[in-house]
Amino acid sequence: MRAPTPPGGPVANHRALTRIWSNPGGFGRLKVVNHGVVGKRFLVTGMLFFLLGGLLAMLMRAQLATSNNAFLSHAAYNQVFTMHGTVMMFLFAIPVIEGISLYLLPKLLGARDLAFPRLSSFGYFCFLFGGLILVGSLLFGVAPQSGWFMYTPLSSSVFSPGVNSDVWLLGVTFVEISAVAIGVEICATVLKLRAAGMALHKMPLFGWYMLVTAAMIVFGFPPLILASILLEIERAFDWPFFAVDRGGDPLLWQHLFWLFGHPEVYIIFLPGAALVSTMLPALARRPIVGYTAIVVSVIATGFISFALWVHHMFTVGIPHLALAFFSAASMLVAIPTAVQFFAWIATLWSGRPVLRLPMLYLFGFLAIFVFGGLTGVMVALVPFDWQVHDTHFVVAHMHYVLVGGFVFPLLAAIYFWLPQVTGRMASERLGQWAFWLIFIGFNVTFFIMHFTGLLGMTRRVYTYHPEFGLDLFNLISSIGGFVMTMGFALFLLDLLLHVRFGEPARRNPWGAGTLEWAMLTPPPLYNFASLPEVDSRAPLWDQPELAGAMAGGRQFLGIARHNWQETLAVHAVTGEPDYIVILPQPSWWPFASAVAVGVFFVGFLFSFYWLAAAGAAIAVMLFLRWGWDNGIREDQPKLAAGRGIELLRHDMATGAPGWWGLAFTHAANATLLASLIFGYFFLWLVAEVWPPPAFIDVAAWLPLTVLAAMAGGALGANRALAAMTTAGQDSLWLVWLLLAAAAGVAAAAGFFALPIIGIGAPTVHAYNATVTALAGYAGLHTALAAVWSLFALLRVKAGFLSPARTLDLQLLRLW
Amino acid sequence: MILAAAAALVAACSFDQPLSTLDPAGPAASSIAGIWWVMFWGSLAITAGMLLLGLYVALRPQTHKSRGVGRRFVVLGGLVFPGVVVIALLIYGFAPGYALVPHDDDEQFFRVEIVAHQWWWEVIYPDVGGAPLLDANEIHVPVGRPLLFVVTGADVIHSFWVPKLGGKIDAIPGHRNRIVLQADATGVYRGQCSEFCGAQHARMGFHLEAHEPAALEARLQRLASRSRPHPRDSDLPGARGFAEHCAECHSIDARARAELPGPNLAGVADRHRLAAGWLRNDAAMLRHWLRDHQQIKPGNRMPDHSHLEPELLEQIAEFLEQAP
Repeated sequence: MRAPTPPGGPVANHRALTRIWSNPGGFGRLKVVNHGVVGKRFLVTGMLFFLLGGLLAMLMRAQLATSNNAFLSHAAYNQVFTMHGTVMMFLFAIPVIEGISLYLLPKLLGARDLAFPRLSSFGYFCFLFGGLILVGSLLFGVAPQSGWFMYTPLSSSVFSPGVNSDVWLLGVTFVEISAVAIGVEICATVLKLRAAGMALHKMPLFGWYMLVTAAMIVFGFPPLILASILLEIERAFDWPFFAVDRGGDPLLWQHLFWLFGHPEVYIIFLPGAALVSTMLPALARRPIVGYTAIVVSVIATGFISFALWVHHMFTVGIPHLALAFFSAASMLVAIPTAVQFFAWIATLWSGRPVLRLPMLYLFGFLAIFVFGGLTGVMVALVPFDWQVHDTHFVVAHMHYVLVGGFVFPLLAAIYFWLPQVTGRMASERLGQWAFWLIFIGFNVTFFIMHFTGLLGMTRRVYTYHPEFGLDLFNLISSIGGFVMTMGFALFLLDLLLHVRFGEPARRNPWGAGTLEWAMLTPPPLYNFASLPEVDSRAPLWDQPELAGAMAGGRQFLGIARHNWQETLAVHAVTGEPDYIVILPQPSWWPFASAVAVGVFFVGFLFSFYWLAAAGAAIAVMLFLRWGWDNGIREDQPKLAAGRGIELLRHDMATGAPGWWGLAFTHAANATLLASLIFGYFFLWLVAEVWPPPAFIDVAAWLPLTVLAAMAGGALGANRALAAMTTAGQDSLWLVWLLLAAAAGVAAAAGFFALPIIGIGAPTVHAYNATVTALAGYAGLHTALAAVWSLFALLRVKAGFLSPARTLDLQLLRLW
Repeated sequence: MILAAAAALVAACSFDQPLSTLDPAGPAASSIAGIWWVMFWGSLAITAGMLLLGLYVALRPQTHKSRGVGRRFVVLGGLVFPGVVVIALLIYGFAPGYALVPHDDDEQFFRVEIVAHQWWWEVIYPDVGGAPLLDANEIHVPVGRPLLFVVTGADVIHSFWVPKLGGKIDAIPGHRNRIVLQADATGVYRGQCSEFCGAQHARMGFHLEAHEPAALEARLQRLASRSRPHPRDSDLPGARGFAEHCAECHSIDARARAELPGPNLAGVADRHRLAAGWLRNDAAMLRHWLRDHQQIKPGNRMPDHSHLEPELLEQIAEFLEQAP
C-alpha cells in the first residue's frame, strides 16, 4: 500500500519537522531534551573524564616506575588510585555506554526519540553534577582515598574521619541515580518505541544487548545505592550497620558492593560486544551468523553475572563448598562469551570482510579480550585466586577485560559511526598509527604485569621495596603506559582534525543494513521524515526502496501537525503499531530537579542537614510540577498515523510508556528493599545473639494499625481507578482518593513511630539500626503514596483525567 | 609474533624474587605454581589459535565458492570447546584448594594466631611452655609440619600472605579466619599485607622463619627470656625514658597480652627486621627509626619523636638492645 506524499511535498515536510524539533540556543540549551544532543553530551563528558582517568593512571605509573620513588606521597597516591578506578568505572565507562545507547537506539530502532526525553536530560545533569563533586574533591586534595571499592571499616568515620569517603558515597550515588534513570529509559524505549513491524526477533542485536544491559543496571545498581546510603548513615549518624563492636559486619558491605560490582563488569562488556555485533555484519557484508544463539548468550550472561559476586571474596573465609559453587559459576560465564566469539568469526568467515580502520580495532579487541577472558577463567579457580588475589595479576587481568572488552570496541565504534554523526571520515593513516601505539603500549604495560603480580607485587601499594626485585618489571610497564598514552593522544588529534579536514563521507559508507544510515548526515534532530515499516533485521539490505520512502514522508507519521513531536509506539513483542507518543518539548524541569537533588547531596556532604532536607523537598515539588505538565485536559479521538491507519495518542491508551517506566523503576526499588532485607538476615546469621537481649517487644496494635492503613490505601487507589472508569460515580473517586491519601499518611506515621516506640536508639546496635532503616524505608514510601494520592486528586480536579485517560491512576495503583 | 616474543621472554626469566609465587617452598604453593604454568601455556596457545583463526578468516583469498561456516561451528567452538576446558580445569584445580582449608583442629598443626593492625602484625604463640608468647612482625615455625594460622584484624581489613608457602587469607575485624600452610625447607620467607588498609599498606610486611624443631625450641625460649616486667620497675639507664615516652603503647612483657596499640617490643633486638619488614635491624637503623620513623613510614600511628634529645633516644635504643 503506497501512502501519498505529505501535503506540500517532502521538502516542506522536512522544513516543518525541523522547526518543530528545533532546540533553543543560549541558556535555553539547558532545556534541551533531544536524544541525539543528550547522547552526545554524555559521550563528550564521559570522554573528558576518560582523559582525566588516563592522566591519573600516568601519575601512578610514574610513581611505580622505580622502587621507593618519592614522586607522589602515600596520601596523594591513595587518592589517585581511588579516583582512577572511580572515574573510569562511574564517570567514563557507564556514562559513555549510556551516551551511545541514547544516541543510537532511536536511530537503530527507527524512532524519533526516546520514551522519556526529559528523564535522560535529568540523568545527564545528575551525572554531570555528581562527576563534578567527585572531580572537584581532587582539586581540593580531599578526594576519596579508601579505594574505589570503599571497604569498611577503612572507609568508616573512625578510620577515614575526613570528608573524603562522603565525597565518594554521595557523588557516586548521585551518578548512579543517573544510571538507573537511563536504565529505565532504555528498557522502556527498546520495548515500546520501535519501527512498525520490528518484532523482537527482528530487532537489531544492539537492542537486545542494551535491553539486557539496562535491565542489569536496574537490578544491579540498587544494592550499591543501598550500601552507600547505609554507610553514609553510619558515618553521619553513627548507626552501626558495619561496625563489629555493635553487631554490624564489614562483610555486609562487601556482599552488597560485589552484588553490584560483578554485574557491573558485564554491564561494561555487553555494550562492547553489542557494538561488535552491530558493526561486524556491515564490515563483513553479511548478516550475523547465529542471531538466536547470541541473544540467548546475552540473556544467559545477564543471569549468570548475578551469581558470581562471591568470586571477588574468595579470601574472606567462606566455606569451601560455597567457593566451589561460585568458582564453577564464574567459569560457566566463559561459555556464552565463547558463543559470541565463534559467531563473530563465523560471520567473518561467511562474508567478505572490509579491512578498514574499525576492523583493525576489532582485531585489537579479539586479541586482548580473549587473553583477558582466559586469565578470568584462571582467577575463577579458587586456589589460584588465593595466590593472585589483590596482586597486580588481577590488575592486569581486569585491564585486559575492560580495555579489551570495552575500550577497543568503543574506538572501533567511534571510527565506524563518526561519518554518521559528523558527516565526515577520520584519517585512516593517523588512526592506524594510533592503533599500533595503543595496542603495543597496552600489551607492554599489562602483559608483563601478570608476572609482576605473580612475583609478589600487591595491589594499591604506593611503593615497593628494592629487595622485591620488581623494578625492571615495573619500569617496563610504565614505559608501555606512556606509549599507550601517545596513542590516545594521536586518536584525539585525529578526532579534532577530522571535524575540519575530514573528507565528507558518502551516505552509508560501510554499506550497513540498519536504519541509522537511512537519514541525512549529520542527522536532523527528528531523525526520520517518516517512520519505517520494516520486515527484516537489516531493512536497508532487504527493502531497497525503504530509505526513499522514508525520506519522502510516505511511511508512518510523515505529518507535521500542532507543533507535536510525534513518534510511534509498537506492541512490545510483535511490533504491531500500538499508539502515537507525543513527546515533550524542551523543558527546564529536568535541569531544575537535578539542581535540587544536587542541593540535597551537597547539603549532606557538608553536614548542613537542613539544606539537604530543603533540597529534597524542593526536588519532590519539582518532580510533581514536572509531572503536572503531562497529559491533556480533554479526550481526543484517534489520530491519523499515515499509511491509512489511525491510532490513539499515548494519554488515551493503556500501557503508555509511563507505565513501563514506573514498572522498571519499581524493579529497581524492589531490589533496593531486597538488599536491605538481605542485610537484616545477613547480620542475623553472623550474630550470636539476635535481636540483642535489650530488645523491647512492640505493642501489637501499632503494626496492626500500619497494616490496616496500608490495606486501606491500596483499596482506596484501586477503587478510585474503578470509580473513574465506571461512568456515573462522579464523586466516588474523590472519596476513595482521599481515603488512599489518609491511609498513606497514617501508615507513614505508623512506620516512623514504630522504631521510636518499639526499640531503642538506632546507634546502640546493628539490630536497631536495620529495623529503623526498614521502617524508615516503608514510612518514606507510604508517605510518598499519600502525596501522590493528593496529587492525583488535584489532577482530576484540573480535568487531566477522564474515564478514558486514567494513566495517572494506573500509575498510582501500581505504586 | 608478539605472543612468541612474550613466550620466549617468559621462558628465559627466572622467578626467584622474595615474594615470588613461582618459587614455591611449600606444598600448596607448589601445586598452585604447577597449575599456573599449565594454564599459562594453555591460554597462550588458545589466544594464538583464536588470533590466527581471525586473521585467516579476514585475510583469506576472496573466492565466490567459499560458503563459510554456520551454526555447527558456533556450537562446537562456543559450547563444546570451553565446556570441556572448564570442566577439566575445575576437576584439576579443586584438590589443591581442599588441602589449604583446615578440616579438623587436631594435634598435628603448629598453631599461630595473627592479629593484623595498621600497619604491623601481632604474633601470638598460644602455648609455649604452658603460656602464650607474644611477638610482632616475625613468625617462627617448624619446618615440614602443617601450620595453622588463625587470623583476625584489630582495626580495618588486612590480608595475611606468604607467597612462597601458599594462598592468602583476609584479616577481618570480628572474624577469625584459618589457613593451613607448610614450609618444606628451613629459611626466611617474606610476607606482605595484601588488602588495602590505608596510609602505609605498601610497607606492611613481615618475615616467617622455618626452623628444625630443636632450633625452633631454642628460638622461642630466647624470645621468652627477653621478656621483662614494666620498665618502671627497672633501674637500667633508658628504662625511665622508655616508661615515659614508649610504655603507654608498647609492652616489653612477651608473656601477657596487654591490648596496647603498638607492637610488643620484648624481642625487638633479635628480629631480622624493623618497621614491619621494611628496614634491616641493626644499631644504626634502630636509632634512625626511633628518630625519623615519620619520614620512613609517613602517617604511621606512632607519634613523632624527633624532638626528643639525642641522648635520650640513644638511652632508649640501648635499653631495647640490652638483655634483661
